Amino acid sequence: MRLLLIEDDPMIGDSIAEGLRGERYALDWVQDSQAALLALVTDVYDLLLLDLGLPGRDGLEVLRQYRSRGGQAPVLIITARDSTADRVQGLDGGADDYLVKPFDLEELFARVRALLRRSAGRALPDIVHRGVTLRMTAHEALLDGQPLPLSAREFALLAALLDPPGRVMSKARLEQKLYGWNEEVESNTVDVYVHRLRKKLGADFIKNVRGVGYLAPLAT
Amino acid sequence: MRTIRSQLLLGLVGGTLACTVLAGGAIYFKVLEESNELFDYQLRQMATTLPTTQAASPARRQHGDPEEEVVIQVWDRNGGLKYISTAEHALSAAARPGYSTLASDDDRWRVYLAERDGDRVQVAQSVSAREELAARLALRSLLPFLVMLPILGVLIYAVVGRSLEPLTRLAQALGRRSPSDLQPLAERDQPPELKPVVAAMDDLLLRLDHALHSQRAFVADAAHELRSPLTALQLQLQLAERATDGVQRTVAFTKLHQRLDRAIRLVQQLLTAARQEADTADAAPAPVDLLELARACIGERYDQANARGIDLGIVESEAGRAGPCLSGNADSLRILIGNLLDNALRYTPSGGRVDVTVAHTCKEVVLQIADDGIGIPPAERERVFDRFYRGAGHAEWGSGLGLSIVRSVANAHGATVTLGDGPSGRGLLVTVRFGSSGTLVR
Repeated sequence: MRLLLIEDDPMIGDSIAEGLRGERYALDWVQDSQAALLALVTDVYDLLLLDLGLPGRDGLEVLRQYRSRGGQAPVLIITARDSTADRVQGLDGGADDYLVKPFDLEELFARVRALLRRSAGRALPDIVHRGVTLRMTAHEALLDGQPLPLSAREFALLAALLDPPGRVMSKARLEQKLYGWNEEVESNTVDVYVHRLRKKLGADFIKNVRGVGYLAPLAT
Repeated sequence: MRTIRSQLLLGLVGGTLACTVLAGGAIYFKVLEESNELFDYQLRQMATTLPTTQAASPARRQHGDPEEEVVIQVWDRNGGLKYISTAEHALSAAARPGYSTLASDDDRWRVYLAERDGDRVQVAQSVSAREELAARLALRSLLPFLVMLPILGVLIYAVVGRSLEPLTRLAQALGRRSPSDLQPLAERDQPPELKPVVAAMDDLLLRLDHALHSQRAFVADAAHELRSPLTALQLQLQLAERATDGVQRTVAFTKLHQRLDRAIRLVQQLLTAARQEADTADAAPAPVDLLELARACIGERYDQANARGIDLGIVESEAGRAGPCLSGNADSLRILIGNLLDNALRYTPSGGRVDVTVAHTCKEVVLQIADDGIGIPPAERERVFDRFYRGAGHAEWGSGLGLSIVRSVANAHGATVTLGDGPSGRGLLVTVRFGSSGTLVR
């Protein structure tokens, strides 16, 4: 899962980024609206965390532009503005949730999980597919009820393929989902992780569509 | 302090009473004078025309009015009393003919003595009777006024009450107000006498409203601004709690300290900003050596600048070693220079340079602080003085109060603050000009 954090305060941004990266999300952090709009040109993000009090342009303006370009990712507003009017304006402006500073890190994580779940069309926190259960809260994987040891990248790749399943994902897209800007992407890395997952889950769990990418088919 | 109503009542009724008494006195004396003339004439007429032959028969006229009662006496040429009209008022004869005033045992008498064919005829009238008549007449003419006096009092009381009604309304309107309601009174139909009062009060309310408004805005802004450092603190604390190994924990705690410092600094700046206005208003201005103050401020920051390899110092001006003095508050000016230096140091990269210049001409003292940091774009140079405004395009975190405090101090000293490009074309040049409103000592 790749998230974009738009927050001008260096200290708050630093802590949020560190916290979310600790939760194994790929996260990019920009500090002003110009950079945010630039980052949003490539529509790779699964969720936006948006501070409203940005220097230069207002956060709501970024939100408006993003939505008017057809951006679909859920947006969580993080702001110090706590009046009802501000909340209403934010939610009506296209945001999906609203978190007022100061807030608890756990609450932020829970809201991020909930928004990601909703945007994938799931009502339950766990992803279940063909005997595999991904517990998104605890970052645990189960195969037929037994714990399945997965690395963080393997887990992220599997989650990307299964949320929802039956969707072909290009290698480039999967790479984007796995890595933030600052992280080095080794060549063939997606292939390596797919290979490892196939070893653990069976060869037909992930299929290769030649020249297009990978998918986790709905049924065999 | 008496009420206006009782003052007016006492003054007007008392004045009227005094005037009435004076008028009574005047009438009394006038009447007395007039009646004296008349009665004297009467006495003479009687004395010269009364028949003396039938002296034996008492010719007494009896009237009720004492002033019309006269005593007639006739003496023959030997001095024997031929006739007296009223036996109980036996008067001696006047010394010479004509008018004179005689005193008897219990009264004074106005007499006229005429000599006719050897007889002397004297007609006398009581002076006190005349005076009583005058007094009675005076009193009678004043009576209506005295009767009117209570009515006048009631009228004055009512009219004054009515006239003071706008004042009462005003008092009630003010009394009904809540402490936060500082709208102008906007009372129409005010008598002209009250208009200056209402206008002055409206003016005061307006200024009070403005002051209260800015205070509230400041408190709201301050509370709002405190959220950010507290958020940073809370998040970092939770990250520190989640740290799994020693290295992570050390890093987390270092960051925690930075965030705590930031929160503390914001609170300090808020306090400085809040105190600034009160202090500048209270403290009596004293001579301040700006150059010496700048040296002290630089000394306090030497370690900080040195650690980052920034060359911080004073550029000696041709003004010489003795610093120009100006009249002001040394503590406030120290904050001004300190904030400007802190800004310069914060936004100047390592290895940069910060120059302080204090120059003076006969008209003004100019403090300049130049750095070769990132500078401020011209479009933002006015807005950075706003409270809690923070410029974009840098990762530094400030309270957003520094320059606002600088301007506040400068304003209190009648000084101006302008921002420009640094001398090398990069960075920022802050110029503070003192002396436009007589703050110079010499």
